[in-house]
Amino acid sequence: MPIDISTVMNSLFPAGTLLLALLLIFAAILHVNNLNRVHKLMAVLQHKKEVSKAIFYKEMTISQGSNFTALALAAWIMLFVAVAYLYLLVPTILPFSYMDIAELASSIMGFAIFGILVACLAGVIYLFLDKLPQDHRDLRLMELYSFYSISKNMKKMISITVIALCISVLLSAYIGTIFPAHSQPAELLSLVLLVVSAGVLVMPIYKEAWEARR
Amino acid sequence: MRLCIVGIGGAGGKITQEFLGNEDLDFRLLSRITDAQYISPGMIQGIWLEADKNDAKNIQHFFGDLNEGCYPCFYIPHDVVADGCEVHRIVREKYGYDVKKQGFVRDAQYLKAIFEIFDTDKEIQVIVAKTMNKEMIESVGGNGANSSASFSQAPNPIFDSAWNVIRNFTTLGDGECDGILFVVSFGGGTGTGFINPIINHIRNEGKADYPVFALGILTELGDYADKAQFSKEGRRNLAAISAIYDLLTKGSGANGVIIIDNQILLDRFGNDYPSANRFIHKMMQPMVAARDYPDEIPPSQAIAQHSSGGLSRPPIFVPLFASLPRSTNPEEALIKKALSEEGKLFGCSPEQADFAFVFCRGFIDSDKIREILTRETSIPPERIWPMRKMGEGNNEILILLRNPYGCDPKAYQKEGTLENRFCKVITMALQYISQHPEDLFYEGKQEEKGKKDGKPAEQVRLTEASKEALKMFFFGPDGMDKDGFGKTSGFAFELKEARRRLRDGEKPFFHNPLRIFYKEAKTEDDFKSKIHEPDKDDIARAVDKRIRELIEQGLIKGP
Repeated sequence: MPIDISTVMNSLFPAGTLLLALLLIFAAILHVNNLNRVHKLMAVLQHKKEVSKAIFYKEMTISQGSNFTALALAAWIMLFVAVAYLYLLVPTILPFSYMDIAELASSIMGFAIFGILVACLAGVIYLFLDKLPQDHRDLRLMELYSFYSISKNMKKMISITVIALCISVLLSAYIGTIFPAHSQPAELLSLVLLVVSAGVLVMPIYKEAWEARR
Repeated sequence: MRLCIVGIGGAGGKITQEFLGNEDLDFRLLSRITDAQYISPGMIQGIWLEADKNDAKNIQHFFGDLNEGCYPCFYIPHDVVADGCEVHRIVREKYGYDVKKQGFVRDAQYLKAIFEIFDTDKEIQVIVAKTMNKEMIESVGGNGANSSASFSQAPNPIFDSAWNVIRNFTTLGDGECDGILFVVSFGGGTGTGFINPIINHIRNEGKADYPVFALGILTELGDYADKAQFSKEGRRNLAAISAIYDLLTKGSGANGVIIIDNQILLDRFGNDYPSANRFIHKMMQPMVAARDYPDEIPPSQAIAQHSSGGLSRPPIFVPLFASLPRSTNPEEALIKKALSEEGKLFGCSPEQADFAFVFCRGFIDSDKIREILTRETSIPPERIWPMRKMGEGNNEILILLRNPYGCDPKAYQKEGTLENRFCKVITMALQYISQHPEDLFYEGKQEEKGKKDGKPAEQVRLTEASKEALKMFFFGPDGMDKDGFGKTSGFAFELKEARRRLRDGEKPFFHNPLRIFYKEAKTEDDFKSKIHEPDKDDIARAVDKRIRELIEQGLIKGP
């Protein structure tokens, strides 16, 4: 049976979207699981009924450096912006989009306003999570990496995702510019950059979960 | 325990570099925006003390100049004495020692002699006080403020300024490090002479329980290292044993001397020094890394007390290291691997150890560690102290065995024992003394010396008084004649005695601290009388001995 290239291409985007969603959801689950597992192990190895989570998190966190933390934060904000640009700027998968607000979307600063709004929203979410009590430090996105041992090369890769995500945003902006026309290669490339970047950002979580299997 | 790593000399600097790598990303522009701090694993800090300015400034590029505000930084202690200044001139005229040449003269006595000259010579002390005031020494050494307690001892510009820069990193100054780890090569020329004077400062500030350890790499056998260390095997062994002797005989000195055999490392890494240095860093991680188990952070004072508690002299610690992939119940495999020949970083007899620190990284049960180590070595469980950290990647274990030798008169004949290795070093050192006595007084050809910067070395010309003091130090009042040397006292005699003790299975094998220069001592009789006058070390030893007796009698409880 001949394979219809256009059908394959059309299914790549939803498949990539699904992959991105699963990657992030599983990362969140594994992160919580990683920390809970170590927390329980501490109680077992210290022959205690329970170890205070606040003390446990305090001992477990290690400083990764201000430069890295700043770049990692920027990368996560860019991830939010890139996702919003790819899925909300034009109707790719969802039935609604920023283009529905035609006047704002087509103004000179239209795309920029959208990006800034999403970045601000992401910033507010980070700040909110950062205010969670000591017992829930595992949910603070800003402290995500301080629970993991991250090599210098990994840190460089995480910081490079900022560039990859910028390219993804630019490609999505291009798609928005030519809308209602479509550019499937641009959409796929933007998605690939998004998936790869998200993968790199959550890689320390997967690595730790993989090592813990032993 | 958060350590301040102090690398001394060339090898010390290279190993310290491994410890002080920046965990953060190095972006200068971003650093300005984020006001980024330099962060090393385990939040350790450190400094490199070096004598060779050319090497420090032009050849290596990891450490910057402390005086230019760099971090990580090097510091050249003898820079505090300006070339041709009054202090420089008078020491050279009176003793023949050039205080700006330490490090280029490849022996441990050189720096020891310089320290003792400043420590004992009243005239030089007056000149130091007159021409080099406290503020000057401090400003050259950094921004540290020395305490009055430190200055209750004789002003000693080189060592005082070195202490000032280190002090800033420690809790004794403005820093956060609650312990010091000196990293030094036993066999070079610059290093170990700094350690005891700096410990003097710490102890004189009333910090008897501030932990200070020395990590020393014993020079390898054969002539492979001759070029790298600018010194031949016999001379390297003499320098090594002199350095170790000084460290191990100082009462209230270091809390422990962690010793690694470079021969073992180079056999393992095929004479590749950088790989050996990386391994030293890796194997020390269970001790220096962060992430202690919750509520299990040992107070640094407790570590200091357990290290040298009950002993009158600093103990030797032999490190055993093992690293294995994570698994369930890893304790048995880790300990067995650490106790195997693969895990030992110095020849030893683990069953003779009288105490063991066990630093673990990973998910490890301390009860099992005690149980298995007791079974394998017969060290009582109460003499085993496990300290655990959450790991990364592999499970790791670093066992520091205290004084793992002695009690076996045949041990010195067996390869792979501490007795055997030290007997070899002592024998080679004695051979060197016997074959090159002129070198002890810097009267040999000096062919190995001073070539580091490519310039011919200006020969050290000791004065008669210094030669006499050195002769007394090495050979005692009997001196050296064709029938031999070191018959009743002196360093050579002490080495022979140490070798005898090693062969008889006695421990410790080094007993009597020795000096080159004594306060106010000018005649031979004075020297003899001074030897019997108890100094601080003697008193500390006597007190320790009495405490040990009381513990043995059960009248007081041991640590």
